[in-house]
Amino acid sequence: MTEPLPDPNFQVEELLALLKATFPGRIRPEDEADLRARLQANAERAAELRRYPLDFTDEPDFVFRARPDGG
Amino acid sequence: MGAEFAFQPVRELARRIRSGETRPTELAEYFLDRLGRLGSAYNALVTLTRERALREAAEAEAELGAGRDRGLLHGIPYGAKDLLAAAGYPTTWGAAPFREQRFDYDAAVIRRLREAGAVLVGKLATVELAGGMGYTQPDAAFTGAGKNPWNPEFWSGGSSNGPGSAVAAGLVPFALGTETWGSIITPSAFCGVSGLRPSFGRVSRFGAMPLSWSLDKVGPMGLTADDCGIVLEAIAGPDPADPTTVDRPFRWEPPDPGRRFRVGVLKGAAENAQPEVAQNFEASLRVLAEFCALEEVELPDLPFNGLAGTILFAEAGSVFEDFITSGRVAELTAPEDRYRPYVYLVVPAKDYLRALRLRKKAVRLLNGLFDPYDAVVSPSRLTVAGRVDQDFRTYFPPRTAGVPISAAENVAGLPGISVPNGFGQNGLPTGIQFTGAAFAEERILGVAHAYQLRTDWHRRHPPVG
Repeated sequence: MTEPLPDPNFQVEELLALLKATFPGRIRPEDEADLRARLQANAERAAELRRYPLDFTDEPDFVFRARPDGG
Repeated sequence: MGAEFAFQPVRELARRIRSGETRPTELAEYFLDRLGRLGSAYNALVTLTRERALREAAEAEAELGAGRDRGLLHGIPYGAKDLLAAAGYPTTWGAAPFREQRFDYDAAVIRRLREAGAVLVGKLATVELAGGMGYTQPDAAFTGAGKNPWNPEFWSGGSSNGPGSAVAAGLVPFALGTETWGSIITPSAFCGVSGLRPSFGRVSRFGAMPLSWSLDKVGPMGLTADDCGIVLEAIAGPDPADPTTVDRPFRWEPPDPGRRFRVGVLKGAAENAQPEVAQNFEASLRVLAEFCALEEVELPDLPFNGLAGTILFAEAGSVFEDFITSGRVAELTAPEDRYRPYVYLVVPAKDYLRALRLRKKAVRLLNGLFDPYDAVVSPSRLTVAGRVDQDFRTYFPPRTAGVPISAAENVAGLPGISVPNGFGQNGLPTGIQFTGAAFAEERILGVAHAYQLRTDWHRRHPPVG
């Protein structure tokens, strides 16, 4: 691989098109600019998070119990 | 109904009950009348729970008469944000599509208040679905825009607008609100009341509308920090129905009036604030300096807004996936709430998981930073409330939307309390927030209580009814 793959998070137009195709008629033309800005904001948030390093020991916190009684 | 019970803190109402100056049924009738008569003026009331209130008040009266005293809340009326289930009444979540929704059980917090002898008089307004769909204006609920008792042409804040307005106008002695990201602190500041966001895990969320499973908190809003402490003691504690709750005892006793505290002042907290907000914060620091050692503290470099947004949108997208994909979202009141949630459906799992992994660092760093202090202070909000007909994007430009600590404290599940500290533009209240390390509610309440012993902002009330 000689070039990095494009980051899907930045494919705002593709995501907008996906939403419009998945939910036809739900997104009015006059709302598209705001929705596009929201998608862009999502992408920028994701990019911001990627600027902070994590390693293999950084596991997420999940509230999970293997038994209903918490055991 | 000649007696005046509005604007009396819990301890005073409790004293009057025990001295025989009043009875729980008289208090219930008084606040049912006041809430029913004035609640609509602020779009604060969804449902008056008259039958239940009169039954609970009669039970409280009989018990107290028989010598069984459940504590300070026994016989005290209150209201609950309409995100909290109460058996026998609609629980609308502030949203038109859920107007007829009913649950046959009480939320854990309402059950605990019932066990403490408190009397539910009303379900109070909320921004639809706790504001989680991306609203940009106050008129975002079927109940209409929340109106501020200090001036009904201005907003009461969100999303716990009903509790904020109702407490500020003396329509209930205290109320329960919820916060995912600012929803207790903001209306408390805008309405000039005291509102406590507990640590995540301190109070059961069972029976509360989920918006974000790892960010939602339920907490009290009242006239004073003392009131908030009394209510928190009643509602706190582990609950098998909410596996995120923890077994850490909480007891509220006001600290010795002569006690000194160590308080951090958040660096840059008042930057971008309205001038009056900054001035009031500086004045508050001068009061705090009389009984606190003040030191500047700085938040660690972490992307708190990005963390809060990613976690909230991913979890809300899952909570409301069926509601969004079914198209019922189009039935919501605010036009932007009808399409904005679609973006929640395309938050990548890897981004959500990255946010959760980074949150562990945030939790460790923030608790380490806050542990040495009894509280860290900042303005509760950088502005006073805007007009009820004003779009947030013109009044709250993104860079001044909130104090820097707002996202950090919610991501890490830290407790905070907002208490009034003056007035700003248009004669509207401003607030100061005391934030603490996780499960340090007693410490932040102690500082806030000591502050209120030296100020009278919490004793000023709007001219209502």
